[in-house]
Amino acid sequence: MLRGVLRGDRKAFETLVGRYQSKVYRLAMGLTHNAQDAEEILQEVFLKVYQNLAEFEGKSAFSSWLYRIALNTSYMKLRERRGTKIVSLDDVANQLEGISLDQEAEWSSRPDEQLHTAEALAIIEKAVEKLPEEFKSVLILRDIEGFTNEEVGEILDLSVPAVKSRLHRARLILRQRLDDFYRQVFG
Amino acid sequence: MNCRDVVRHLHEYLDGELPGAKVEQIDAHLHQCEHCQRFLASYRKTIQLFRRTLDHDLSPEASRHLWQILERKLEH
Repeated sequence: MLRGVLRGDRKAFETLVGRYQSKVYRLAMGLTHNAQDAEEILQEVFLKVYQNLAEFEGKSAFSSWLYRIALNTSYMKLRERRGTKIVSLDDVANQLEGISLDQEAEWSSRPDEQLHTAEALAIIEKAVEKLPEEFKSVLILRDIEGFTNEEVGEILDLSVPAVKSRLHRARLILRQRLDDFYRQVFG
Repeated sequence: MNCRDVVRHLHEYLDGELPGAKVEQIDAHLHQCEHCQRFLASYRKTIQLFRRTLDHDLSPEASRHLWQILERKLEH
């Protein structure tokens, strides 16, 4: 397929786009939280792939190369967007300080139909929005796209311990936001 | 192993990245600590819920639209 795209075969390129479009879209949505931005990112990413495929040396997996382009394009879109608040690592430290490990998460024994509500999903989305980009990227690549820690490290140019640490801290922050929410709902 | 140690290693425990001896220690703690059992369950449920926030594929309509735009741009 990649050789076909390099030869200028449009059908091969259409196949490539079809295979990766939803993955890139999810990543862009997860980072920007804006459908219009995500669609623009999608277009830019596949144009860059088509125009720069000859530079792909095959040292890493094609998907890793593609995700790096998608991440950089998403970050650029976020920078362009006026008024986007950049979340710092200090913000994460503050959020982590508010985490309590001592309370009983009794809600966790409730059935999914009581937990998987639109409000709970909105709480998660809002909490993800408050994470720095580097944390969001790790979360999406690990928990949505299923990459290994090593693969995520390669895509983001991070060590495996750094990937694990960001993943765990991001999950703990989301868990705490849910904990706060369900405590209000279930009393 | 105390509750804080368990929480610190939870991601590696869930992802099967801990050595056997550590897993046994955590299993033993979980067996007798309801608090950590619930914390683990809530951590798992958080991941499930996060997955649900982004579990949508690009719609066929958006996919067609994307391809039309790409074709147009590639012509230039």
